[in-house]
Amino acid sequence: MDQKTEDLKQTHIFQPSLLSFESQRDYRRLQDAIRDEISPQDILEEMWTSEIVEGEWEIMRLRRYKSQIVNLARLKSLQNLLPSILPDAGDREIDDFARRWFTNKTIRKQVNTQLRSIDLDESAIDVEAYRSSIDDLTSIDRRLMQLVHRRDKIFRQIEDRRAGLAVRLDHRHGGQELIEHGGDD
Amino acid sequence: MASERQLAANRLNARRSSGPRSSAGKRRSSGNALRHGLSRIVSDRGGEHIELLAHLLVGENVDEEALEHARSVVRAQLELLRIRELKRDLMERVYRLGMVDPPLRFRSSSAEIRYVMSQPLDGGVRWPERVDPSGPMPSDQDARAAETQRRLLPQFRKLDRYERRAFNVKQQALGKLAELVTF
Repeated sequence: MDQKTEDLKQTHIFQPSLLSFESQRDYRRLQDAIRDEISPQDILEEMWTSEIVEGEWEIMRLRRYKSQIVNLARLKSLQNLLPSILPDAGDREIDDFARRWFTNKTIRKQVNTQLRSIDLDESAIDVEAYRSSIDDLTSIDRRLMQLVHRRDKIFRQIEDRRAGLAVRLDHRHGGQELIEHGGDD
Repeated sequence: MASERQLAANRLNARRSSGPRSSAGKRRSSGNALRHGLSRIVSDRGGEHIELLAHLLVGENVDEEALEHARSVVRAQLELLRIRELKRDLMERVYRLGMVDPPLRFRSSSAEIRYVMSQPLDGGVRWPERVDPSGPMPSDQDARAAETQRRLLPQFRKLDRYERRAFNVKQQALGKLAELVTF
């Protein structure tokens, strides 16, 4: 294969969708693990393998983001909850309380006491965070399902092809034996 | 053959669904095909590349049917790359800037007109600061990346439609090619 074709192959077929703030080392590790598992036999299987790597990388990324998105929504969820437990506080005060809840132990304790007074605890903040990000999470879950389905389909394609080739080879081999056997007779 | 009544119903339905009527709607829909050009399945990255890569896929097999499937694989692959590049660029941009579009001074043109009309006649207009409606980005790297993804979900939902189509075309052609090419 000449250099131009090799370059084209690298840039047009096996180009990873790695983001600049993502770890190249982790990507390589995942790529190596999947390649070891599949052991692609030719360029077609290489293409399938690279598609699986891409999908798996995105799956890992989205799963990580899902928990982060809920975490990020906790501030907003506190801002939504606080007016109910601190009815006399103004908007600015609520905002200040919500921000400091994450870093200031005293504020945290104070808010938790107020929450307990209405039979709630810190988990109410998480529930509210989950509720407010449900649309985003649903959207991500839909993509995740799509990627998982895609990965399984590719694995099946590789298996089917290998099984088909094995049957064909088996037939060819068996046919040869029959001819040889017939010759002996 | 359709009856007079059916024809009349068809005409009525056609009139009801004859596209956008307002000037804003017409303006918006006129840019639909130009917005990203992703509805094109044939890539403009050059026929020479397609031919080279297609030959690479079929190897020594010069069967025309295999070659045709290989070309389909390559064309779909180039589409996939284009869509993924676009997604990657958007991620990088929002990760750094926090937004895709520049911040606006007003939510709508009518709000802008109202503001201008409210300004005193004798002096120039004092424009308000531009505001990013999506707010500040988190400073922590992981949280920032997740927020980037969250902000881009509506755009990604649309792009994923095109990505899915290119992926299916590629998989279908790859499956057919795999039946013809053995290792």
